[in-house]
Amino acid sequence: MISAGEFAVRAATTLLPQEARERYREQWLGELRDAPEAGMRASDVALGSLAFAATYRRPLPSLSRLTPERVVVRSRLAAGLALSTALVALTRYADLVSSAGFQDSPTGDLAMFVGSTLAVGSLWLTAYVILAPIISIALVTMTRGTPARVRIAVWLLVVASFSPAAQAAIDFNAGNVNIFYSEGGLAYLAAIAMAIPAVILLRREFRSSTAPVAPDATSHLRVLSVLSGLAVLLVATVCINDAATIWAARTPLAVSSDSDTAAYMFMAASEARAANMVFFTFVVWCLLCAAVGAAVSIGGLRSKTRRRTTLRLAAAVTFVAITYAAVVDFLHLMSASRESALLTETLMLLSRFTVIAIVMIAIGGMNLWRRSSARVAEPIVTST
Amino acid sequence: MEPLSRVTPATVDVLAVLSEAAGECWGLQVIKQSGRPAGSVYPILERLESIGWLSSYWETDDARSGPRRRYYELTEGGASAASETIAAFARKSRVVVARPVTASAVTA
Repeated sequence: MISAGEFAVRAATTLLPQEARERYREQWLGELRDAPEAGMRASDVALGSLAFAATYRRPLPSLSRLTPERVVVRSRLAAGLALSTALVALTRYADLVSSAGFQDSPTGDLAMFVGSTLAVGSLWLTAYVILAPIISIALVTMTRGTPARVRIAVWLLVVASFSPAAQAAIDFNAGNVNIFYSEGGLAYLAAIAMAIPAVILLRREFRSSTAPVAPDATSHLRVLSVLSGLAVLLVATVCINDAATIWAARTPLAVSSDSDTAAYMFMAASEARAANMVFFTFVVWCLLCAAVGAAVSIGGLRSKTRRRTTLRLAAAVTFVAITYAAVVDFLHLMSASRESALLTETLMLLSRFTVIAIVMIAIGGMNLWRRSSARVAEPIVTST
Repeated sequence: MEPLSRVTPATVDVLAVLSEAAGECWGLQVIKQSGRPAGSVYPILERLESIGWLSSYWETDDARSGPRRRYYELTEGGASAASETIAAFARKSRVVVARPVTASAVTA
């Protein structure tokens, strides 16, 4: 049976990096044995070993060899992952995915939310919004030399990405049914309040002229954005499929009396107003995303050509979002029947997820449309 | 050999013990003679070793069974740097202590 001191020493050594364990284990066990001989208490060695292990900060060899360029790449990757997750969260995708946008039912609780998202088929998106924050935190935590602004921004964005779960928990406890106008919505406001300073921090960090930029520093973010955009498009496809299924199984409206018709019209008008407000929120969100995408993209760019391209892309995204929103909203207001309303809801879903995908691509939209003029021309060698 | 980024009183005490030992010195010996807790001394020894002021090696005495002791010794550059650090810290401490006296003298 080992003593308490030996147990503490062995516990302390397990906290150390692999390459330092054997050395300190033997050293401390030797000092533990010889403590009485030296007129010391064994507990001094035990406590000392624990304190040493808790404060040991020497970087692992694999991490200490990171070049500044690699640190920049990892910082950008972490920022891109955290930012895209936070943006997905701010789209209230949980509401849309879990209820497919057609039911005024709360997401219930976290288990119900996860279960329903999996049931709808958005497994990839759910996996993404769970894994991306974990990876981004791991990147900024394990990469020594990550700028403090990036660390703070990533943490803020990760916390913001939990807003759907927070909203679900709040609404579930409050027993809310209408998920768009509830106390749970405060979770999204808080998320926006955290996302904005995070974006400002990232912009300042990546716009800094002193920050080293690797030649391929943007490629990871671009690939990530494209992949995440494709994932969101996949979810949009699933949602449209669900919408088609629901439409195919729709129940025809019953022929109603005059009074019932009036009541129905009143209800439909209320729903239209509610949807209008939701859509207004969506447009504001689109503008925010476009601004965020432009800011991050500009921050990561050095070339004037790429910067102009990104600005144009962000402007195009904003224009498309607003135009599409206006058209779909108009169609929605003009809907005379529930079936046509269902169709416009489908278009709304499509527009939302399309814009999400485009914005995600815009965030990392660096070198997407590389111009031939931007390439370095090969020197012409002439022989005389 | 790198310079010491941060010099604390505990660091100076450890350096003083190692300088006075003028040879091999094992961890508990440093802890006892410096009067500092083990939780302070172990990180200082590790820091001094990582910047090249100290070297360490296992004991070669076969008479003792079980885990070996780890001995520390100031390197050639570490010994001179330690002397300078101790002297600089002593000068700084004297200035800090003397400052109130000077101030009161001026006031008087």
